[in-house]
Amino acid sequence: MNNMPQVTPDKKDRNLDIEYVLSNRTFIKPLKAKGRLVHNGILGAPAKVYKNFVYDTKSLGKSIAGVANDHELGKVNDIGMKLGGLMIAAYLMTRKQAPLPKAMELVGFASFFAAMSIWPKVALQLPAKLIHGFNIRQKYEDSFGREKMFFQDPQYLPWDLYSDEQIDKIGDWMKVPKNINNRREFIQEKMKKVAVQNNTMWMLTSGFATPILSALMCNALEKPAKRYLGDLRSKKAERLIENVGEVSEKYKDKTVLTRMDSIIAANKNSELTPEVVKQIKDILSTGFDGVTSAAIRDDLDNILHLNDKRYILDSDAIQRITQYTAESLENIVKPEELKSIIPSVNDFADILDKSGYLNKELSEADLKRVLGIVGTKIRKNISLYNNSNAASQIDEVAVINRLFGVKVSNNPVAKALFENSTAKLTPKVAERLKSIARAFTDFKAKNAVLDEYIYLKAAAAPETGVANAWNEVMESLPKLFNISDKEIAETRHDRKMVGKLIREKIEHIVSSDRDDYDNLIKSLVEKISQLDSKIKDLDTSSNSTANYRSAVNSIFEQFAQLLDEKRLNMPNTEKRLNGAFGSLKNIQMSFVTNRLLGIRSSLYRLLNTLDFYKRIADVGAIDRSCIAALHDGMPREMKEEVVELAKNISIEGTTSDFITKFYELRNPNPDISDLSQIVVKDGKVKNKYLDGFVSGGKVDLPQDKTFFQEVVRLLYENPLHPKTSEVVSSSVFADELQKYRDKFIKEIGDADYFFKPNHTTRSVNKNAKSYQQFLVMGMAPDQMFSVTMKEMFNTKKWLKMFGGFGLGLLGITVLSQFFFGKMKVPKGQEND
Amino acid sequence: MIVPISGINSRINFKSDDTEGKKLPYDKDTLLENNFANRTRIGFDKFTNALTLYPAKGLKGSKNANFYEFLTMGSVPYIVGSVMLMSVFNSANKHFAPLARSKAGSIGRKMALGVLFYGLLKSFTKSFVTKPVEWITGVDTEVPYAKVNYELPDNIYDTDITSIEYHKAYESKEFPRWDLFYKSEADGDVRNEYFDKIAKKIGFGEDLNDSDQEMKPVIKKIAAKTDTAKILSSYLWAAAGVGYAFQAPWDDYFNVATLKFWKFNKFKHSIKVFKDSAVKSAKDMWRGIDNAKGWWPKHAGKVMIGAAALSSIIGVVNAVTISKPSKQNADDVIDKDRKYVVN
Repeated sequence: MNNMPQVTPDKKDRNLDIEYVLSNRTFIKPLKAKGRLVHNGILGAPAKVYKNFVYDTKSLGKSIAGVANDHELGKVNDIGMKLGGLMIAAYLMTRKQAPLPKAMELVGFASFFAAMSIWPKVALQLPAKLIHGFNIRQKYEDSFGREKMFFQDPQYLPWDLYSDEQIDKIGDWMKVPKNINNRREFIQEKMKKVAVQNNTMWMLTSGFATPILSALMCNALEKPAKRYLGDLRSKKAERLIENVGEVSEKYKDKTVLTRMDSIIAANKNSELTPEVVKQIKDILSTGFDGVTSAAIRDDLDNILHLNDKRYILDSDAIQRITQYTAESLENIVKPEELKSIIPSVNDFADILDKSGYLNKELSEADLKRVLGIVGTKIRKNISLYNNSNAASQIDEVAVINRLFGVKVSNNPVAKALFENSTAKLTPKVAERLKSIARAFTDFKAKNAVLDEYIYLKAAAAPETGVANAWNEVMESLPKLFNISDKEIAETRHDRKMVGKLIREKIEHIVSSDRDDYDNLIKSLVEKISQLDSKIKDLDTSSNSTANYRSAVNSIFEQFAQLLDEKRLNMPNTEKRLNGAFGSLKNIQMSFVTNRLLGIRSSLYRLLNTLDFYKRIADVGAIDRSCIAALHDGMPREMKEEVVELAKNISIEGTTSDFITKFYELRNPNPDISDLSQIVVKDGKVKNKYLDGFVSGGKVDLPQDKTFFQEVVRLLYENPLHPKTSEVVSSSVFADELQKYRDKFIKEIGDADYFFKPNHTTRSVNKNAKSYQQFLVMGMAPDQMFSVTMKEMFNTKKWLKMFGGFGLGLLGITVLSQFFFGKMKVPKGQEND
Repeated sequence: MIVPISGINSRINFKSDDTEGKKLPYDKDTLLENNFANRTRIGFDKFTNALTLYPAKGLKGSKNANFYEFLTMGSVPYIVGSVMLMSVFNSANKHFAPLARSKAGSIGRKMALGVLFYGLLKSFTKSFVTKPVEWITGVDTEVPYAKVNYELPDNIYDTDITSIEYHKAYESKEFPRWDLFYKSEADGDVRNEYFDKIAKKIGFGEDLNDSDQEMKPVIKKIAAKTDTAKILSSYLWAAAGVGYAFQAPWDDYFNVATLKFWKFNKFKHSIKVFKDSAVKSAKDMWRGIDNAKGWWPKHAGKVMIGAAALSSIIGVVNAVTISKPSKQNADDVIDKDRKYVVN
């Protein structure tokens, strides 16, 4: 072996000192063994990890160079396995959209390797140690510092590493009689046997155990990982919103700027042709909605002077007028005659100066007058010429026809002036356009930051702040409502069955003698408060001081100031941005507002439902006002109908139920003499009439507006149960719940077409919008539970299957320990 | 503890002679030809032993259990684990609601396919390195040999005390089984024929005095480098295999997959769809996710395949790069004034 130290002897050996030479290992002789058993504590772990890393790296290097020994080559396998695993995790991450599944790929990778090493430690090493008194996975370091498993090769066990005391101690633990011959050998044999059996068991079980253990670990780690990632994303969002200005630099899309620059460079000082104008408008309005983009286009018309085009009559223009005139008369008038009829530049200047048009910005009307002046002058010149040159006459009609009998744009004068209009890409205009492009780029970038913030916090996507907070409340529901695993399994496929189950549960809770209701309301209020505190950053109501609201306000305000008349002068765009209804700013806010409204409505609806059931359960004992809708003038049968519908829709009703107006079968001729109050027992109404037979059959009575009014009043108008209000009033959302109840009546109960046109609960609200109704309605409790229960069932089912299998496997593995190492103490070896 | 060893032919008590006609396949350690038949036989032998004989011996705590058996049993967790992994992702699905079931099923089946591809690619891509090395240098690092083991008898009636182990001659780089490569001069062979061949192939020339002594360190290096490349690249290929299994087009196959070969048309169709899915998946993996954010999702597939292919190629190049010793006069090699230590 190459690792053996070599000592070159001295050349002269005449006075050989054998002791000296021997101690210097001059001769070939066995090296003193330096092996030792390795005992690793937790404290030494980091150093150990580092040492292993260094060894592995060196091994890899030596293996590539082809000089590695077997132990080092073995390390290459570990490296390869981990490298491959990492590659898989990294690749699978690209297949996942949301951060949690991405992170879970890495968790999965790590957990697999962890499971591989944990299983033999927990299922074999630990019980073996307890039962047999020694570590079956003992490691030792050989003379060359290589770490190996002691019992790896049963045909080669370096027993000398165990001292007699150690072996004796193990023998005592294994209850090996003290008085046998060759006790040490016997104990060693026994240890070997135990180790071989355990190693075999390891190979047989780890195939089953590793995937299961790994999956269970992932399952356990998913929640903490979710929470951690949620916090991380939330913090990221806060950082974004607090430093919008800085952060937005990264979000800047420079294409608007570069495209604008290239257009300006290509059309510097030239006429703003319709094409160029279109390009400019397109560039600046991309990324905005139709209305805003129209506003931007309008503002650009002004900025580019397209609406009030003027023509500048300066010496340039006059120069061109004479030139174009000469060109258009080329074939009619001889070149030498042209000079006589076309006034010189100076003459023109004189004439136009006299008429007050020189160096002025001309309007269209002015332009026509200038045309007249020029025409008159030319005619005058022609007649002068014709009068003095009888020989060659100029055809005045032809000339005038050629000049003025054509389209205005072909008229040389007009043409010259058109080319000299104010609608030009002058340096001033160019500078203005650049400023606009810069301002827009900046604004869009800031908007992108706002959008990113909203995405992280509130998007309808996994692992956003809102989704996480919502899920936490949802996951707690089945337990809060005492729904058993069995009930989950039975009802999970059918929302209707879930609805029925919840109704039963609530009726049971509200009628309980114990504090079940109080406890439930308290827990629920607490959960909702927690969720509320997590989403309060998103509050956009006018009195909110949340970061998002102030960021939106300041960004839009700053941009509005830029758009002001004194600066960029884009009033239309400004109005569109910050105006009252439907402005961009409101749209930016409203996404969040609506999202929060939907979430809060869903939770408040659940609270309200519980409260309503409680009020009905306590119908005899409660203050009359709390059930005012069930007033004395109402026949008992109708009361029963009202309560039944209210109970149903509070749990199952959706917006579409309200739109289709509840096809509710009722008795058209109730017994009006019975005006008694309903009777409730164990939370359920003891119906006297409702389930009874009606001659002629029950029918839907859509014209009975009182019925629906009373249902809404009972649910949303009559005061809360004292117990509910006591708990809610001390919560952070005390006012919000009341606001929600009012809003429900206003948006749904008072909608101008509630169940029939103008049959409303209180007053007609013609503004009730369907999306508002949808948001106020919130999620139906049965749907809420159904979704959660389905997910819980899946996870639990999986856990039961594999957790059970894993536990069984662990049990068998641990128990098998008791059958290991059985050896008869050989006869004839006992001393006695 | 000394117990009488009963040899194969010693029959101490009266019992039927079950050793009659039982011929040992090998009576000494024998180099085997590295061909398909042998590989299959060895694989099958190891596989069945790993599932039957070795666990039985191990669980009994047999004194003859050895490291070879332990290592061979290492294939059990691979196989069981693969099946388990497939079932972890699939067997609970049937209890789920229809939509969740189909979603979980799609992922689960891909996981299962991933496990399968991992195993397949991990094993057959090893030849991407070992074969070229063999073609170029003549060194077959995978050449197997049968090792005849004499065991301790379990009791005095135990007559079957041999066991055959299958190893590779270059399994240990420290102690390759050089002895198996020598030919017998008594049989009229050239003793160093094997080493001569390699020396010629890798350009050390013919008619070397001691081709075995010259070749041994070179072969050792080749074997170590080949193993390194073989191991690393097989894991990278395996990883690429998992990535390949996770491509969306496989869903097309799973929708029609059937193993009922007696339903000929359906089976034929499923095979056709399998081929289509395989091609489409490969293309998809190479192309990456088009509109993805960032460099990695777009190029991850290329990187996986590229890394695996490169590792095989570089590995082969590295393994066949042999530095020849400069020609020295044999007289100069040994410095007569120095003393040497023999390792």
